[in-house]
Amino acid sequence: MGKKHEIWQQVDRRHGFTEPGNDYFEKFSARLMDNLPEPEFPEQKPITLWSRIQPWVYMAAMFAGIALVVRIFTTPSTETDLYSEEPCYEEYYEELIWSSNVSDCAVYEYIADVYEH
Amino acid sequence: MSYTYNEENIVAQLQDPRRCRSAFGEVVRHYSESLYWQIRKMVISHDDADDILQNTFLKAWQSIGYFRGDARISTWLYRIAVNETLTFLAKQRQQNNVPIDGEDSFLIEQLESDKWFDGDEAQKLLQEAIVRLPEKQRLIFNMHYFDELKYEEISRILGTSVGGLKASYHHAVKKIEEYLTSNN
Repeated sequence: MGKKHEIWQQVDRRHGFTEPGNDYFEKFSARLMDNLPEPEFPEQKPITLWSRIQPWVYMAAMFAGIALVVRIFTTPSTETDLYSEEPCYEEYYEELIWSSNVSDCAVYEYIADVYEH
Repeated sequence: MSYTYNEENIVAQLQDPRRCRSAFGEVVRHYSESLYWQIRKMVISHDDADDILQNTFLKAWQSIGYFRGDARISTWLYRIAVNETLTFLAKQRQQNNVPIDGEDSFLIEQLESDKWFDGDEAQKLLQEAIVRLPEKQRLIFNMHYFDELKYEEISRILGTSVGGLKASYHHAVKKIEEYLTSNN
């Protein structure tokens, strides 16, 4: 066997370092504990009823929103056919008269002329 | 004074503000020695190792309120110790103007002048070879060879895959043997 293998056997996992004094680690522990500051713990917020149901409320709102969007995009249009209803002539002319700027007299004169001719 | 260290009890006590200080004291007593040697083998100097060990426990204490026991205490502490050690070595390299891929010559000098080293010639030669390894390889070699940590545990501490660790260790051993052969 070469010398390299002898080294591993000679060393046998001993690193050769020492610590100053036999009580170094005891003194270290005491020294460290004497200088420890106050511990810092994260603030614990109280668990309220709202914090418990909050995720469920948000989830319900989310699903409601999705359902609304789906309904909007999938519902077929239901436009009424304006020409399917039979016109009611009296109401039709009255509505025209009210919505136009033409006076009542002018309209009746016109209708009279139409019937005459 | 002997005490029985029970990790499960300690983890529970660490999360109780009224009992965390005494529980932390037990953690310090239980882990200070193993952490010290882990650090010392990397930085060589006892004084530097002492400082880093203190910083390690202070950092752990500062985050004690957030420790939930997800990882083992040993893994948690080793991770902090490794980070503190590597941060210290990076600062030392910067102060000594060591190039990124250069050897940590300041450690070699410290090894030669260290009064707290009483190993024989073989141990000194091995340490000289180890100090010349890249930082990560040195860390992995120390943890596996001297501390006899399993690759799975080292993987949890360093976040490196077991395969990567085995490759690093193999390369480290090869470089050490080459150094030993050339300095025969």
